[in-house]
Amino acid sequence: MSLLSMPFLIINFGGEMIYVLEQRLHAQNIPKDKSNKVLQDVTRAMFSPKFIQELMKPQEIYSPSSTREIFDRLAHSSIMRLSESSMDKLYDLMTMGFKYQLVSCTHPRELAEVTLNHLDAIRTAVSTSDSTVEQVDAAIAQFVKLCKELSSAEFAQIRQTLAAFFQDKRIKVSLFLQDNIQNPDGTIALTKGGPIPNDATLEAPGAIRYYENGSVTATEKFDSPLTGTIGEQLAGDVYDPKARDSKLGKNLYTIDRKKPDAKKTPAAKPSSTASSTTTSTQKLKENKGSAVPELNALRELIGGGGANDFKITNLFGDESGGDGAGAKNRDIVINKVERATLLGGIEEEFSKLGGDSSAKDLGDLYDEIAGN
Amino acid sequence: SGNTTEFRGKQMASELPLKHTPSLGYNNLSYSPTLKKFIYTHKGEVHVCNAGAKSCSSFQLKGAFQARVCGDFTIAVAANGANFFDLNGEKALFTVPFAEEASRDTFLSRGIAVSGNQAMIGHSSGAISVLEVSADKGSYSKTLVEHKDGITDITSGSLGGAAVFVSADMAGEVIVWDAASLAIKARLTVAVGDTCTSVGVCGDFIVCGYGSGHVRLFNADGSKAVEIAAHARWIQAIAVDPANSLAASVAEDQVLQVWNVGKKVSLKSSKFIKDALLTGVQFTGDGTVAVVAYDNDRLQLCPV
Repeated sequence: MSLLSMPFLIINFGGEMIYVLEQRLHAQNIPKDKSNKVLQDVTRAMFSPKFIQELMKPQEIYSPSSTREIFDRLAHSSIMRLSESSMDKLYDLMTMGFKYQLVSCTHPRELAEVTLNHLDAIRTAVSTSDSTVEQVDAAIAQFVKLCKELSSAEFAQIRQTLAAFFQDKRIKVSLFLQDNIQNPDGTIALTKGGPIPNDATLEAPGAIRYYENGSVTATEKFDSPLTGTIGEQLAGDVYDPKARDSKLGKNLYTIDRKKPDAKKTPAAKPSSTASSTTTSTQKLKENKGSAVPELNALRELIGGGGANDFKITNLFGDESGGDGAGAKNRDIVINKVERATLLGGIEEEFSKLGGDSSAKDLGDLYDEIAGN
Repeated sequence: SGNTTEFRGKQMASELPLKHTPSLGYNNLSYSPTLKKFIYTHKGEVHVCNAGAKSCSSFQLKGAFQARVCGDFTIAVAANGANFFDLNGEKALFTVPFAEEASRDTFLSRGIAVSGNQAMIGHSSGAISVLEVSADKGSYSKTLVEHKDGITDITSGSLGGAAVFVSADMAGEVIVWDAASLAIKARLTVAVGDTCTSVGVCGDFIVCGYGSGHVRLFNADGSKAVEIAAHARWIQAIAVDPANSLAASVAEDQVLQVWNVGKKVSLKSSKFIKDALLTGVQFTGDGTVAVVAYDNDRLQLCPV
């Protein structure tokens, strides 16, 4: 276990939340100034100096239910109000997104790159406000300072602590299934081989060296199962956004993709319709009412949205009554120029179809959009 | 399970289903050859997988960091101390709390070994608790403060005929202790910045697995004998079979490798296990080596 895992948990989760919110607000055709306000407010809540200060303290990792409470509050720290099922779906996407990134790290120190990728993206998302950017920059500075003090072994500890948090989470996300990030059973798919990470102690497998008095006397080779799959050693800079090796922690929802072929979608259907979404979030709700209230210092530091004229009652619902272009858009091609994404049409379509949203998971919704 | 593989004319199960998935941690698999039971931790719980009966059970203990089969005991280490159970894990025998000087500044304890009537338990502070144990009771003996970084693993064995403990830490320092007197016999040459995650004693060698993916063999005097660029990712566990001069290593590159250990080292067998962040390995003594992976509900048995 580690006492330094909280910054990694909260910042990466927060980054995933910003990605999804940003994309949903755009897909809903929410006016730019309103959606900007939501992102600004949520970011300011998460990066308030008091919150960051509390976050950086050495402490045990929060329980899943306490962590969920933090993000419930963060999501509601602005003018936006989410239905419980919307919040559940948002949180499930955050969970599986970060789990994929965590599990895919090729070296413990890559966790720093993942977090910094999220931080840089958050900074960009709020770039219209100098004061918010200043707050994010202050947090980045503290985070970088922390990372530079940690050994690879300590990063490994942090990763092991986070791994326990995400253990057994198998919520299927259509995007991830389609991209082969996730296997049909919900487990994360790993890459075989790949480039050697940038660390002086590492080398590609294959050599056996014999020593006498500290000097090499002979070298032999063996055939590793990974022979042929290992790439050149990376040489990037963790702390330079332009020279960072890792792509993990970048936005999973703005990647070019083709419409999946019909053969794939049956596999994406979950075998049990007792939704995995419901199961995971149900457990969190059950824990909320436990007899001993859990200390949640971070949650207490998040302020509410305050009085506002404009309220978004349901992020994923059809409410604005505007031109509806986004709502009717069945386009599942996602390109980097923020088009309505795969997820964009899902909730609108679903609310039109009716039914209890909590009984379906994203795989079902995806299939409906794809017209199967 | 219907998955079997033929090996030396016998049908053997190549997979055992696990009711709970193993957590990601160093050396998260232990084995009792007498009872044919595997032990591992799942989010602070200790679970038992009975290879013979293909059934699973768990210990009455929460907050366990690690559990290991040592002689006639299964020892599960938690914040409250070292909990000694019978081999089945059904009977809690006694608990030895950690002394203040070991538990202060410690948030994690791991590395468990027994030699004779002494047990060693490692702590994240770098301290090592030494306990005196007999069949039905145990007591605190002393705290060794030699390592400067958190302990990753401790093992015991016969090194060239002499009973030793070997302890490793996050900075990569490895110390060989005389099992009876606890005098330091050797400090292994450190590879700077390379964490030693797992150690084993095999014949005349100390076998060490590292975060860099290297497996290194050291002589009893602490000098490096062999260095294998074994894995492409962080090694999570190694196991040794001194009777057959074998060592096994598993890493996050999804690869299991079995090595012939001696003055000459060679790869005996290997397996790529798709999507498996391997986190534990054990020789069964039945011609197979068992592996488990993080968040994976199957224990795999591979021919050696």
